[in-house]
Amino acid sequence: MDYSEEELVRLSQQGDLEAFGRLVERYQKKVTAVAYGLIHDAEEAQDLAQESFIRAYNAIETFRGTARFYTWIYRITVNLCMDRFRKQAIEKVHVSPVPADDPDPQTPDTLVTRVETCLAVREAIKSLPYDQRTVIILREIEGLSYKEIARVVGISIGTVMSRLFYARRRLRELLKHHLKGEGRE
Amino acid sequence: MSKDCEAIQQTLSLYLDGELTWHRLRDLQGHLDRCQNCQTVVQDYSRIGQLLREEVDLAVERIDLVALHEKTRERLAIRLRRTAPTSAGLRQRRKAELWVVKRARAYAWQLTWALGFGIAVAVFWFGPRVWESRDQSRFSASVGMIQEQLGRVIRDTASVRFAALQASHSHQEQLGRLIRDHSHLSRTQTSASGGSDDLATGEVQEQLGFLIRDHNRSQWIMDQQSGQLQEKLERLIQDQAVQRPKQP
Repeated sequence: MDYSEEELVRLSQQGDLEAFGRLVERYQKKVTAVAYGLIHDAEEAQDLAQESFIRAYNAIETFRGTARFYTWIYRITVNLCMDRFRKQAIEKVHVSPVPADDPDPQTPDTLVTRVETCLAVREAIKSLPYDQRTVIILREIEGLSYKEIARVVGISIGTVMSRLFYARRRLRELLKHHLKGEGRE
Repeated sequence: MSKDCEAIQQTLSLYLDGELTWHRLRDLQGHLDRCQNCQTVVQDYSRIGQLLREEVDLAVERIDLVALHEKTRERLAIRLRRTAPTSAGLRQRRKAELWVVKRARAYAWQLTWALGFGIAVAVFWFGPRVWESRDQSRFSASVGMIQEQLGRVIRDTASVRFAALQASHSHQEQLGRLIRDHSHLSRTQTSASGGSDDLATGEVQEQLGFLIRDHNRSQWIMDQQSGQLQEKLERLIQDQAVQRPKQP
């Protein structure tokens, strides 16, 4: 039987672990993507995603249903990533290797270009301040609206707009060489 | 980059995310149709988003989500086992709860008996006193009413007597005047004779007669009223005697 998100949350609040397991199944990919986007380390991202769900289960009774479940759990994930980022100075941690077994094989030149672009994007994201990184990831990866981003991060919509603008401007500067080959000039 | 382009740079980000109002969108579209520079910026922003998504999707696709799910459940189960009470602890808690329930029941019964006994004592001890004081207060109220009526009767009696006394005084006064007039007429009659004097004497006598009749009538009315008032008084005294409650 397919339960709605509200029903699964209600059952989870009553202690039904199976119902919470279904919520994990629904949102673990998104939560992992957000964690990876913020941390840019696959292992850390998995660990953070697990921890996000455990914290969510422990605090499920405090969830009042005024917002969607995913905005609530994204908030937990963003806060956890911020804590991890501050503790471990994540910018100095090793960069995860770019996968060599690309499922879509191309010519060597194209592959090299793609790998370089991938690395460049990763480095560019990591160079952003954490607050700008958060908004750009939530906007570009998860497609959240400004209002939802403001709720997840706990800032005003004006601040979301401002941070997104500066993040995009910075990324454009860092990635201009990789964007050149896209038919510019 | 022109001044116009600088002014609308932040708007391009809003345009890309679909967060512009209709008016601002219309104005910006007009500018974009004319400005290649701003068109390039919008395209670059769009491409950056695309690259980001590709990079993250690529990394997440390599993660075994099934295994991740299992690990999450295991960690959750471990966390719950640590905080959950043991079976021995549960039994002890259950025992303590049962003891509390038994004691609460015993106290409830004792309280009920004590309350019932107290109510019974209150009813048998205070009941007659309450009843008696109720009768007493009823009697007092009726006595008060009788006394009020008595007062009215006495006042009426006094006013009747006073009115009678007044009438009597005025009659006596008139009588005195008439006798004086009659005496005067008699004295003058000896000195001079004539029918007109007899007429005056007759008028005085007639007036005297009227006066005596009025006086007698007043006296009679007063006596009647006194008699009635006396009867009322006697009835009230009888009522008072009847309504006094019997002493136990």
